[in-house]
Amino acid sequence: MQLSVNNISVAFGFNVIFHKLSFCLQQGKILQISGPNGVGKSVLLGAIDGAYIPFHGDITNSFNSKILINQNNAIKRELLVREQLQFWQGLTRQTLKMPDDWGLSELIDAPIEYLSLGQKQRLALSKLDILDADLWLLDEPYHGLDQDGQTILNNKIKQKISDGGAVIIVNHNKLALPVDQVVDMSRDNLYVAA
Amino acid sequence: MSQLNTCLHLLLCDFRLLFRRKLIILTPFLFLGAVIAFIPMAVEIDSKYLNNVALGFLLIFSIFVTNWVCGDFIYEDLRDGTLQFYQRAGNSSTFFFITKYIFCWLITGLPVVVIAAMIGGSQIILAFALATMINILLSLVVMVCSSTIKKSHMLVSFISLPFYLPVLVFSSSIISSADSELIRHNIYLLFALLLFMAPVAIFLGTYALKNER
Repeated sequence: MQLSVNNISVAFGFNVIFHKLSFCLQQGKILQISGPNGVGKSVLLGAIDGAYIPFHGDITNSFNSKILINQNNAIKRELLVREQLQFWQGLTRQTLKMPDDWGLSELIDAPIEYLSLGQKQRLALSKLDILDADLWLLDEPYHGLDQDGQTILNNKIKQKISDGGAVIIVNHNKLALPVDQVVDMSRDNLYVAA
Repeated sequence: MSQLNTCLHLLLCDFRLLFRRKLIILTPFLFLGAVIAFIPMAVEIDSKYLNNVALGFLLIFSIFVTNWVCGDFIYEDLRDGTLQFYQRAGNSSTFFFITKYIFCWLITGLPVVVIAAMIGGSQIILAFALATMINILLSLVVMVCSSTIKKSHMLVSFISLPFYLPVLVFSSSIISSADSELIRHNIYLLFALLLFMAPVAIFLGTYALKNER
């Protein structure tokens, strides 16, 4: 399984977000996308997810399934944590199982609107367990997470990689993970193998 | 069967959210109550005349309440990633559209039909049931399409406006011909309109949801 991004260019109207970007991601690899704000990191992730259609180039994806975790987390703030998890698991036709790994068991009856940013991020990331996908597209996944949360996420990513999946992470800082490839969008869309 | 269970989960979640956002549904109905209470002060207090006015008003209100209440639920699901998650989990967009349609009719169409039942007879109830079903179908397609075609909100709304006219024309004919034989013909026309619109709307809605970005 692999993902090939071949010379893609994405624009919003006449505003070209990025131009002729290429890279290839094999299974069992981690790719980091970095760069300053506004260069189109999230748009690139969206293009891989199929939310944006490139006006030039193409994306070929042989991974069976993918999941995107970004700021649109399908979280309904009026629900309780348990109800939200029930809802997601209902959509994926699973029986209710609390994802204890993310430290949500104590918050299970808490209204989502009262959760902190980091707790909401943990809830959003628990979708990775609910929807078992081969390719993870993570947009700023460490945002709001404490040290414990970051460790949990890193362990999950390592587990996914060892299971033969692949992970693309949009992040500004250096990751505490063995990153295989880096796409640095700040340097004229240069593709760099780490 | 599993797809039906998924739809039930979707429906249950929407009702749960509605219960916690009571004001969204209460506000338009309180507004309706206030208007109905004040109408006799503005026009003559003749029960038959008021009956006719109330039914016509109810008809317009059904379009208004559908757009107001259902829009909130549909747009949120399209914007907050719920639809994407639903599709990613291998569920059908057609079922999503139908589930949202059932939800919208239950929360806006059914109360309107119940109010109509207090004013008119069985044929009026049938006419309102059909009219609300068509209106909600139309509103839902407009909402989904206008959300998909992001820069054409106004365009889609304007294009869709004429499609409300046949519903309004036939429904108001039913109200005006409530005591005559003509009412049956108008009900048949509304029924035919629903039969024609249902597959077209479901196809359009599904296509728009599949292409939602």
